[in-house]
Amino acid sequence: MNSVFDDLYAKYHHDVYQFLFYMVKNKELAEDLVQEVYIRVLKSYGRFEGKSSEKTWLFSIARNVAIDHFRKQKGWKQRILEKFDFTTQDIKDDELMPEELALRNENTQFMYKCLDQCTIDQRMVIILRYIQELTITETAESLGWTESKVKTTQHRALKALKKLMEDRIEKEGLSDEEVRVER
Amino acid sequence: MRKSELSDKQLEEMLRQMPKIKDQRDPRDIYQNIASKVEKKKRAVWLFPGLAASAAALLFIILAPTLLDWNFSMQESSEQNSSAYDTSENDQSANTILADTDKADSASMFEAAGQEEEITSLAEAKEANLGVTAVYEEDLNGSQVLTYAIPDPNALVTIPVSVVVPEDKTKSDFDQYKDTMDSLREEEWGLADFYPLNAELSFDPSIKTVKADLPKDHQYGIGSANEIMFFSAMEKTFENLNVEKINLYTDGNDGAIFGNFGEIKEISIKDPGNQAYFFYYLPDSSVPYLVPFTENFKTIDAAYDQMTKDHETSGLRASIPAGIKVHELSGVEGATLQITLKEGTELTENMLHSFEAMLLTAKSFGFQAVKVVGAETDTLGPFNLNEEIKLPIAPNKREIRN
Repeated sequence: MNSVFDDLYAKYHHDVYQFLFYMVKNKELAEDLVQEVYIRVLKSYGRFEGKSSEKTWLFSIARNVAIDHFRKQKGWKQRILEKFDFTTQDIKDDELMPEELALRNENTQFMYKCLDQCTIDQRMVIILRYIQELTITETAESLGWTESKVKTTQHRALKALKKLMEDRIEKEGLSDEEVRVER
Repeated sequence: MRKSELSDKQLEEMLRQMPKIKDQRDPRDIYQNIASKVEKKKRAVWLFPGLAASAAALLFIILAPTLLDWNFSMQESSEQNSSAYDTSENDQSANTILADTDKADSASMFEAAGQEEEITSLAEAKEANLGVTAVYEEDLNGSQVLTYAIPDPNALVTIPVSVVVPEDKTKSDFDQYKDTMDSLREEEWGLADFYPLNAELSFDPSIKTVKADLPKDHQYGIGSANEIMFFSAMEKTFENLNVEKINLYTDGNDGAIFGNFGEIKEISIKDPGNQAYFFYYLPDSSVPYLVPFTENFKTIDAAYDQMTKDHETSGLRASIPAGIKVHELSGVEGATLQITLKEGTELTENMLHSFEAMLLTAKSFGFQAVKVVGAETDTLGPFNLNEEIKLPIAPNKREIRN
């Protein structure tokens, strides 16, 4: 096996995989995409200049792979079909949840669903900042943004999520107490 | 209540509680999946240039013999030419002396110089019959004319060269043509060595068809210049002999192979139509060959007009100088062409070849004779401009040894 691959796998595989999984919410797809990340990395590893850390470099490639995937998926055909296909909304709700999540409480599960409602930029920031626990600087490097753009996007993402969560609590009254108690 | 309120802290906490998701696959499996792509791409980097290089090498190997052969033959012919030029001067004067002795003229010293530009006295020029290049009726005293199309040394045009041979009633025109082929001296004339043809020739007059049987190793199919000159020479030579078709054979079998054309079974000879005659100069020679250009001109006006311009691509030069200004052309086919010159046009001796080119062109347009009006001289070379001038029989007369 390739020594570069071994090294990268040991250090970052699960981080990258997890990032991609939360982006596309499908294990098989995330597996394919993480392979695509390796292919791109191994092809251009010679050009890695060490200006940024390996970790953020890897995330920036993963981000490109994910964005390319969304672009490919959303060809004009799909976009038109989606408009006429009224079942797609329902299907999203029934999306298969990985076991890891099924064991968690309802709030977490709902949060997982709410991620869909964010824009791709917002989702990337949320995943990198809270699930991968990167710093603002690292996130900015991974996304190729300025730190202030990371901050504003993060702020908007939280605001959007908060509104979605609050609407749900209000509507269904679920886990209301839990929220209160925690306060 | 209640707009329930969630603090940012709570929200962040909930996000952090999202489960860690792990890829369950073995890293070796993952590498297996990507290895083919990563490594295959690497191979392709040299694969394509490698393939291209080997294809180029193969092509070179195939083409090399032809290229070398062509270079060789070019070299050979240029050597021959240069030696031909050395003798051309002598040859020319020899020719004129030959013509001269017939007439037993006193001007032989003068003609040995061989340059018609130097002729100052019209009378002398007329007496000497010097300078005309075509074959005229006077030349045919119990003789017949054979015209051969011979490629020039650069293989750009074929030049019609006419030789006069004693008439032999026992032989057909075609046999005369075949027999005389051996005594042509193309190289001395500054042209490419082309005759005798490397083929068995026979003629069936009833169907006006020539049968040309080429040997297996014939050189006419090697290189596009060879091919084009072969076809051009065949067509132009045989069109004078009332031939309509040439059937090609190789070693007795139908058809002959030519590199660029593939197998050719027959050459059909088209009527050349109306042609205009241009000058073709050999290097070091001031006497031009008069060469017809195969463009079908509708009117003789158009042909004469074209003859004032060079034809660069075929190496042909303008045959009508600026000094000859035609005012009007009149006459019908089969009769006399009247050439009215513009006032002030003086025909001088150095325009003799131009005048011959005009005569030959008129002949190709089907005229029988030419009458010049408005020339400020009475004679030009051997021609009496006060009378109708009979048109030449054939262009570019050359002597052969018998």
